[in-house]
Amino acid sequence: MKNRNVVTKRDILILLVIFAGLIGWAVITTHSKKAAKAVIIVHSKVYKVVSLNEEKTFKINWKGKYLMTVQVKNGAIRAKNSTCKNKICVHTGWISKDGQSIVCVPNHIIIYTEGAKPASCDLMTTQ
Amino acid sequence: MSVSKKVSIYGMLVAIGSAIYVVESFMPFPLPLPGARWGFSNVVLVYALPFTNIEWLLAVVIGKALIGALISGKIFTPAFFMGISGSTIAALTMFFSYKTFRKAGMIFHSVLGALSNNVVQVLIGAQIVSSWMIFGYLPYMEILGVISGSANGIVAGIMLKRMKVMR
Repeated sequence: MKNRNVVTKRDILILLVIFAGLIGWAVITTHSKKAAKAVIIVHSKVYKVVSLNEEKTFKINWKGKYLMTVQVKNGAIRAKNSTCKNKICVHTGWISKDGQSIVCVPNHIIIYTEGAKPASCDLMTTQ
Repeated sequence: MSVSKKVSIYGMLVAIGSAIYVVESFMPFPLPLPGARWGFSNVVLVYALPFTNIEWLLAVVIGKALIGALISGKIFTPAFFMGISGSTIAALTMFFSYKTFRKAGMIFHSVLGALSNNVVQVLIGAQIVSSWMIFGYLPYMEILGVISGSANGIVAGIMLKRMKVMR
């Protein structure tokens, strides 16, 4: 067998650079601003847009079938309960920052937050 | 290497890979993302790099993903498709990086494979849930990918050094 190294000094250097870059990327994405509203998408369609300033709990039903209970409180949103098997959406917990999301693959539900600035005047006035 | 010897060696790699795949599904993963996993079963791909060619490597990938998913009951779920596409790309990346970067160590190829694996997994996941929001998880997945990729590279490299590789 040709003699190949397991780890060389250059490898460690490259890995450190990659690692530092990734940590920087992660830090930048988490330290973003608070979100104003959350968009709930069920089966690729916008199901509901909720403002995060209010406090409420509601159920998501799709074609008469109960899928998920969503709770909004203190500018954050979470999936309180879900009918899916492994409850990844519930374990995600509260999300409040802009650009975060809760994804439930078995139920085809995506909840994502949007920034403080409204997309258009119409959206603002209807809320 | 005769064909029967090849079949036995690659069969063993598939068996080890799917066993690790099943055991790995009991390990907790710190990210709330469906189908995301550590990817330690890809250690057999790294191990196979020095003596394989591309057809046999892809055979190991597909056999490992199919048998592992059959045993753990995840076959044809979104996680299965994310896993199989990810490890196919990882195998191709590692193969070509092994052929190209002759001075780099095993750990480098392994980490490169892990990074490409995660990118493709997130791409497939975005197709499944038809949303790009899932890309927010990519940096964290890549950090964990670097960790598990280095672990794979070290384990496979040490195994290659200590064990006689049949050619």
